[in-house]
Amino acid sequence: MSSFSIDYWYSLGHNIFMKIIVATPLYPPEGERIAVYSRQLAKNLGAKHQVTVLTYGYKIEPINNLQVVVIDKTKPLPIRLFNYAKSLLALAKSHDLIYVQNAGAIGLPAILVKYLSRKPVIINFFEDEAFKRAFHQSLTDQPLEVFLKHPPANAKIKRIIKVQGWVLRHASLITVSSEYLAKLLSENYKVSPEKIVVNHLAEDREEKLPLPVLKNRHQILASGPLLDSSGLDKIIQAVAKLKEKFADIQLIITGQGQKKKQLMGLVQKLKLDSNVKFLGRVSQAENWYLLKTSSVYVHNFSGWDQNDQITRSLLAKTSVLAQDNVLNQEILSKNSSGLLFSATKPEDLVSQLDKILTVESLGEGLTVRASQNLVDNFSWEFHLNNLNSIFSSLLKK
Amino acid sequence: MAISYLKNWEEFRDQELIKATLLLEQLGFSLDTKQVHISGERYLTGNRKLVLLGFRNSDQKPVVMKVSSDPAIISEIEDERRSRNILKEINFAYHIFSFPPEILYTHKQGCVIFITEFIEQEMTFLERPLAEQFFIALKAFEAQEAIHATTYEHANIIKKVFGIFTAQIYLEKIKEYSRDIEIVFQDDKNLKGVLDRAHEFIANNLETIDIYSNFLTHWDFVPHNFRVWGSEIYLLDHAALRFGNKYESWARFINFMTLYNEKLEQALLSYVKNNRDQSEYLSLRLMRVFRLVEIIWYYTNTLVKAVGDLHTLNQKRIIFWTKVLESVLADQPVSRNIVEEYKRIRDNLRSPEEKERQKKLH
Repeated sequence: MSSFSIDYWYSLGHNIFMKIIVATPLYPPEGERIAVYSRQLAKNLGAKHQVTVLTYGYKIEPINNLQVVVIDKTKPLPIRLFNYAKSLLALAKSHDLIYVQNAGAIGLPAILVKYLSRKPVIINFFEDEAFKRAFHQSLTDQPLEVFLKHPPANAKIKRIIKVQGWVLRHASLITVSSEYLAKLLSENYKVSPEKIVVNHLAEDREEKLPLPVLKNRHQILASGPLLDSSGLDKIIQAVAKLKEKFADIQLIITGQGQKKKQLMGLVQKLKLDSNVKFLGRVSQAENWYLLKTSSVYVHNFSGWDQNDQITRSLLAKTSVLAQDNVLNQEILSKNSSGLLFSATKPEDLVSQLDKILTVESLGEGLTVRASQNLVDNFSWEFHLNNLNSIFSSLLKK
Repeated sequence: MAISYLKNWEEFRDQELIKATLLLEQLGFSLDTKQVHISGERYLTGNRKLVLLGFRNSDQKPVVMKVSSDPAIISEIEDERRSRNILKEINFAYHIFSFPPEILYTHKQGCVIFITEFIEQEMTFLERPLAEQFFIALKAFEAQEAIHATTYEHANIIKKVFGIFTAQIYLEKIKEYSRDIEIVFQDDKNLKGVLDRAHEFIANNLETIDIYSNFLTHWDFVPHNFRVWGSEIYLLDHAALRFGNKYESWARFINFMTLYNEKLEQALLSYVKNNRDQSEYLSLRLMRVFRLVEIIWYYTNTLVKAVGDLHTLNQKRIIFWTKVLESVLADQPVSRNIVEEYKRIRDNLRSPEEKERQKKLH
């Protein structure tokens, strides 16, 4: 985890003391990103504000001086929902506002408490729970954008979408991690765009490895899921074209998915068996190791990437080459910290990739600007500054 | 008395093998000439089950066959198969291991026969480069950690199939193991002192054990219980799955690596120390202590069954693992001299059959 000086942050004038509830469905020892984020957020906010975390769980990882209220997850769903709402209402009486992580599992009790307590409820749309569930249960192999327009015919998924929509429309404010996601939300969940505020997530997912890490000059990393929307076939084809120039070129593909057989078939057809490796699902540590040892991370997703692999590449100081679309422009263009290629011109991907693999100084320049981009847009300072402004603006009303 | 254990096992094995060979032949399977998993130290487990290697006659496909006529083992094999099926079905098991495909499961003439595909591997786990070993291990641990049975719905599904270990159960087990060991080694004050410290360490940290409990964990997670092919990890033994502290599988694996690959042991310890909460590292040490007391208990129990050099070897094993336990309690690496000296003794005392069984095992 990267750290920063809370005192410095407050010296900038962010000194309004608030009593904040961080309401989350998950908290460590759960290992999901939302759980880890909730803990780090509470810890950072708690340095100057009064913070109470409310979470489902069983037993949780304790942190000094941080109050965490745990709602027993081993009870049946209606009872846990009721208990969560009851505790949230009780806490709301002694707090200024409620910051809710996700609109699904805890959004419903949070909105009920909003009306009963008249305290502002801000929903942090961390991820789309309906999409996540459908994706893991193989009910969809489409990207979020298509999923929201054409959800699968599954009653439970449709119910979650409905609940999420209702929660989002009734929230005092919604925070999202990108302008792209803000637009998606507004269009698909019929939420007023004025109610949505962009606050990029802090990128701090660094892994400390007990192994030597050396850059492989001609190693390229691409990540799945192995689906059409990840555009991996185009990357494989680009590698085939560059093989003549770079005999030792290596493309590492991580992730699982239904298109694995087709992609492996393509690799065979292009006689790239010794140049392309499919590693399947990899651990957090291995993902980090691959980012650190690759010269470039190529990202050809046509839509939203739930793993935010681009920002993680920036943190690993690895050059990024991404499809030229609204989302990637938003992440990379602010500081020109990555290269973009046209999705409709395969030769563009080949020439950009060629450039990165040939001109070493190009990568060095990109990673310097990437570091600045992280500080400016994806740091905890930036994230907390925004949150502070959002919270303060609501309390002044 | 020890000789009768060996004799009983050999008689059982030979009779069961004749019966199994005929049954398997009727079902269209043949046995390999060499059967390493029913020889060597195998008799010490007391497990009345044959694990046989062979092939399907129709297409020569290599297979692994588990056969038993013992009611307790039949029920164990049934449970193992149920575990496999449940893990495939439960909707919260997003990231799961691969399983060797099932080829046949049947009850015939009082025997249960469970046949799965034999999974080839390019090389054994320990033959791989250190980085590969490290990442395969982490991938396997993360796969287990992804299955956290904390909700009411999950608990209901798994209670029926898997056991659940809480901190209290770990503590009760430690007490039971220590009591049994102390009965055999009544005069060994050093061993008693180490066991007392182990008990105290667990008893003082029950809260930490519980925080990281309710995760899927494989309590015998060692290289001979899984195989790697391409990017897939195939779990071979499903009988050792339960819901418990998530570091139980880490602990078993790291304790094993203390003996087989010190660099991997240190890399994994360093990874947990540097990337996870302090209480997670404590949890790992607690589980290492638990597993070490258990292995000492296991070898203590074998002393009445083991004969000749194996009896001497198991006494040495108890001394060795006690020293490892002392090191873990002190949060220090065990001296390499101790490990190397133990390995030398072990290699001298192992039988030729056991040496053959160990080949390509890890």
